[in-house]
Amino acid sequence: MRTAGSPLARHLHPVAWWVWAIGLAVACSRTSNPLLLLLAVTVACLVVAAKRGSSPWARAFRLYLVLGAVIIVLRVLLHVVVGYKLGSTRLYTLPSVELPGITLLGPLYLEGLLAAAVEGLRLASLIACIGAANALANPKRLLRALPSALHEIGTAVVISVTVAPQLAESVQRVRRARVLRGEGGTGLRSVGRVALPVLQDTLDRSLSLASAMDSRGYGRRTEQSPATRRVTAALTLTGLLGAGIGMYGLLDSTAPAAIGLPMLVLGLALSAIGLRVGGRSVQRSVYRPDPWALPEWLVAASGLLAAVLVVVQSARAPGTLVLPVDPLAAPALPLLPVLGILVAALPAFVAPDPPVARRGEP
Amino acid sequence: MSGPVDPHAPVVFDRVTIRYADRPRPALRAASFALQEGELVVVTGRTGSGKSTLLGAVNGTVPHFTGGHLSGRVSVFGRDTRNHRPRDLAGVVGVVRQDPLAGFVTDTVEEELAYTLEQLALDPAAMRRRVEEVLDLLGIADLRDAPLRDLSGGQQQRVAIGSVLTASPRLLVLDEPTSALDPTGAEEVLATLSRLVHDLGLTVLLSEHRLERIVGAADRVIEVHDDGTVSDGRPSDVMATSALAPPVVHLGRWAGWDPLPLTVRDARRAATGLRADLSRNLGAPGGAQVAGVETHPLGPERLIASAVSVTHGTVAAVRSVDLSLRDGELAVLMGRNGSGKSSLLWALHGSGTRSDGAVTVVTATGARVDPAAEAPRTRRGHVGLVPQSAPDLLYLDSVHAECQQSDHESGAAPGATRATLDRLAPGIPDDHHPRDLSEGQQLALVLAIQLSASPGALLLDEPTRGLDYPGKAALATVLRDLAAGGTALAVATHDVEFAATAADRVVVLAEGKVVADGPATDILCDSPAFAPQVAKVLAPARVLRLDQVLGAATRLGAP
Amino acid sequence: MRLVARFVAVAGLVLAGGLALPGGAAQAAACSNTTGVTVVIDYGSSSSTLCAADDTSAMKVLKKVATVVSPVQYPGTVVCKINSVPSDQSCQRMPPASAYWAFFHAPRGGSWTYSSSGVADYDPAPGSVIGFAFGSGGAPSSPPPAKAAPKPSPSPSPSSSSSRPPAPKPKPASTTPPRPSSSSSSAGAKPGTTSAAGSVTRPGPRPSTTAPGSTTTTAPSGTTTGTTPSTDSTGDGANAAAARADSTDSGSPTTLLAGLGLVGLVGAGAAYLAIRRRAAS
Repeated sequence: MRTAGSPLARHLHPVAWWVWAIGLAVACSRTSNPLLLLLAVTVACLVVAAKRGSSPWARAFRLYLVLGAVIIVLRVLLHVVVGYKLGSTRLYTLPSVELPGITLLGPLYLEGLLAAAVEGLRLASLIACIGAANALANPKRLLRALPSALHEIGTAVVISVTVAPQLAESVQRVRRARVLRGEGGTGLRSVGRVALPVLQDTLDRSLSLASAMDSRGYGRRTEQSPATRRVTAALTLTGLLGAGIGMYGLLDSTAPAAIGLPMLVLGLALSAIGLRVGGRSVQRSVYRPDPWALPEWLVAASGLLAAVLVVVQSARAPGTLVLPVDPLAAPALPLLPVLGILVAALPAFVAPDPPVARRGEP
Repeated sequence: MSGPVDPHAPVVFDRVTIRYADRPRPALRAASFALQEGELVVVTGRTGSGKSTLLGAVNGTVPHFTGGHLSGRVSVFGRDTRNHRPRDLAGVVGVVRQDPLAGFVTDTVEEELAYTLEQLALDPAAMRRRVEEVLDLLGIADLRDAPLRDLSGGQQQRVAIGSVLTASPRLLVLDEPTSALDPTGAEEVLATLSRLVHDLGLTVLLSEHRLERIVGAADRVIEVHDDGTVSDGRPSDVMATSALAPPVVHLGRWAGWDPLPLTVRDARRAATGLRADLSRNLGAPGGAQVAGVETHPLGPERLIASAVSVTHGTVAAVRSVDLSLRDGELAVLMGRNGSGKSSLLWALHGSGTRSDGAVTVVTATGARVDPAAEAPRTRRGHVGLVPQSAPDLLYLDSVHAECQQSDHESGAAPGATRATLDRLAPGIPDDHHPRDLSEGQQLALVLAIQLSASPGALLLDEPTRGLDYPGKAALATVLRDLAAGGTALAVATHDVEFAATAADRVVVLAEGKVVADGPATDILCDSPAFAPQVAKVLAPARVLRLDQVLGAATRLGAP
Repeated sequence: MRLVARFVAVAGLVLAGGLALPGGAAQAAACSNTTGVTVVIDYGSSSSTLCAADDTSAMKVLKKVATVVSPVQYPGTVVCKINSVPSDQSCQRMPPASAYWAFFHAPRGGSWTYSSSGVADYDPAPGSVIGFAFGSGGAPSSPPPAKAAPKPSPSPSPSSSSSRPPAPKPKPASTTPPRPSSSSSSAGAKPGTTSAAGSVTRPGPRPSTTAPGSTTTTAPSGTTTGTTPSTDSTGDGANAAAARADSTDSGSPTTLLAGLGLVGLVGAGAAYLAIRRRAAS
């Protein structure tokens, strides 16, 4: 049994981690400068290494990095097979296969390969940012921060997260049982034979969980008048619709400006009111709610600053945010984005240490 | 039930009949009883009787959640369950079920304890205080951050109890809270419960198959009969006639002790004379074997394991175990949870992990093969295994289809499996869905399927889980018959009473190693932890079960 | 031969100028031979018509006569800017559907066809026209230039026919594109749009110096590998230089090293923390 880390160890508010990670991800999405992307990935690694908890999902950060590496490799392979080959520094010439409308393989140029790798790196860096948020912020704690009207959706997500490993367990158990009856346990036919008991098992589990939750008071709410319910539903739905249109307007530059940001803000506001009204009927409280204090502000701000500085740079000198491939040249090292991304490493120093979980059994 | 019923009693059942649409008989028939404040009440009944229905009806899960039709009236502290849903009673009734893991909503101990309070919208300060109190009350403060899945079974069940206790209920309802636990875990949980009754004055209503654990502490016993009727009374009164009684009660009834002893301590006091008679008859204490133990000659070695080790990841489950099973031998593997019993069985079978060592099985033709190297289909004919969750083996939609498929799989003559099944558990209709059978019937079906390949060695992992006394007795008979027929058997179990009735030989495992291996009488009588009740009562006479006493006594003349 | 070529080029220029003056139609520099590819660039407020040697893709042809910037995400396959138009694009991503370079092709004297294949995939036929129109997808405002006027050309091929001339045959043709001659006609040019027009004319001075040296040496079409002769590489060099000047800010080996050093530093910190954590558990 280990002792807890520092005496002030606590979980940082999960929303702070997500704001930080999204900020860093926005910064990554605005650049294809490999230096900046690599810097962002290492900063994410640094913060995760410094502040992750000991829960299973915190240990999964490595998987996200592996996934990122796989994406880079895939992107380059895709380029080699079907990509449009450009560049002037020919590295190697593969026999090209002419198909109607597409040419496979063909000559490989350094510039094309690098451009593909950087594209992959950008995706990988986005995945690393999301992975970092997952590793740092317990998704279940994040759900607890949801407004109470969404509490039920949150509970559903929590349960599905919990049930997934149990499902894997019962699949394994049933497969072993199939082997006991003399089947190899592979092949299409065995799928059905495994599926039935597993489904049965899952159904039983769900029912017993639901009944346990019911008898523990889940779903208690005060009665609402039908009018209130209708207003709530109307507000929330209209709001979400508005937000959706607003998002579309924001992303599609041909759309009139009025259905962009204003629509989004209006929609979100309506949904917020709807949730607020709907939440009033849900009577529940939160055990040991995560506080939002100075470290939360600093963490969130550091991520946002990275995003802002990169966006500013992309307006001022967009060329510095790309890898020049035509012709190939060394990427620039623009000051503002570098500063911004380095600031995003601040949580490694200012965030509180997470509490160290104690083991159940000696 | 007599006298006027307090309308605000913890639980009042007034002529309650509960029927499910798909069952011909009602699960409960005109059940009437009332619980008093601070009582510890045990519900007994055969597997498949209305025990769970009765417990579910207390907080309204039946019929609000399960469906079915309830007539009559159930009230909890004056609240009628007809218009109070389970969630409305959450602050008054705490419900704990058999498998704690299946009811956990969150993933750490502290959050689980707070869950009910969050639903009840307690303010955070009060919530914090209550959680701390319960952590101390149940002695699980050390585990507050621990992931629930990493806990032992006993710890999980205590957390489950704690998670309903935080809401300060006045009534606790537990449906077989110990059936999934090893003896140590069960002790932990039952000790916790009796403390809660004594310290907090909680009213506790629980069902339990293994009455030897709890009946001594109970204030009252409610028996649910097979036809759905209910009788209740003081434990000694109910036990005097019930078919579902622990061995010590059977001993007391046979010996005609009055009052009927319910615990080993009471029985030991009453048994002074019997002990003297036995020791006179059987010679010096610790001396000769008791007469009446049926023995049959053992055959040659069938399954030989040498230096078998099993590691799961970094955990060594089995460390260098040597074990051999002879034809006609019934060996019981015992040991606490995690001592490596299951891992050893699966390694012996050949389909589980084996990190080191060798396993050899002698086939019918005398060839020596490693079962792990065989194809599953051929392996079945040499060594069979009935896993802990036996129903996993069943996947078809009728008993008939399962039997047919089994004949086909094992190349047996058509009807062979059905014939075996009828020998093990007569009268299971062909068209029943295997999932609707009782635990004992399912086990019999799985056993019949595994026997259809006529393996020379058969391994069973925790077959007694969920079986009541008659079910366990039937299983013991079946296994003894198989052994007498020359099959080599190994059974992993926690249940000492079952081991006492079935075993020729007991192997005790601890931390993956064999710590004791010998004839059942020697091992079970010598160990305080594994001694069955009869042995405890009659020590130093080396008897394990009532029939042995009977055998000895018939030669003594009547008691 | 060279003399003829020069004559043709001058004739072309004169002809184009002559036509441009009265009509304003940008046909001034359409290819006068049947092997070059005519490139029409419609900037919206102005347009220019140029002639380039044929190559394996429309992109390569375009690059011979204009400075092309591709979006960062689609280097070499998508056109974002031609001769710095539009000036307000950062060329990070795919250009918006409201303001992009639409790509058309047409036979000489025919009508515009919106290309179904990408600018990097489309292989223009020698003697055909490719068109780029800035906007939301409309065709260039001017029709594809009419067929080259039947000139006293030494080309043995019946180039005036509308059928595509067999590519390899006219190889020895001395008809060479007056490469890259350009002209711009600013139809009602406003002060604001002159920058675009101005940049178009940037490659303008080149033909006078490079064309004569190169034109006759290589066949403009039929060579599938499309390796460009010296003129092309100098042209590309010029384009690249222009591109570097106006859009990308590349670093130097020093910045590269500094950046990698920074990454290494932060990475080392992360590795140190991870190792310490592992040792602790």
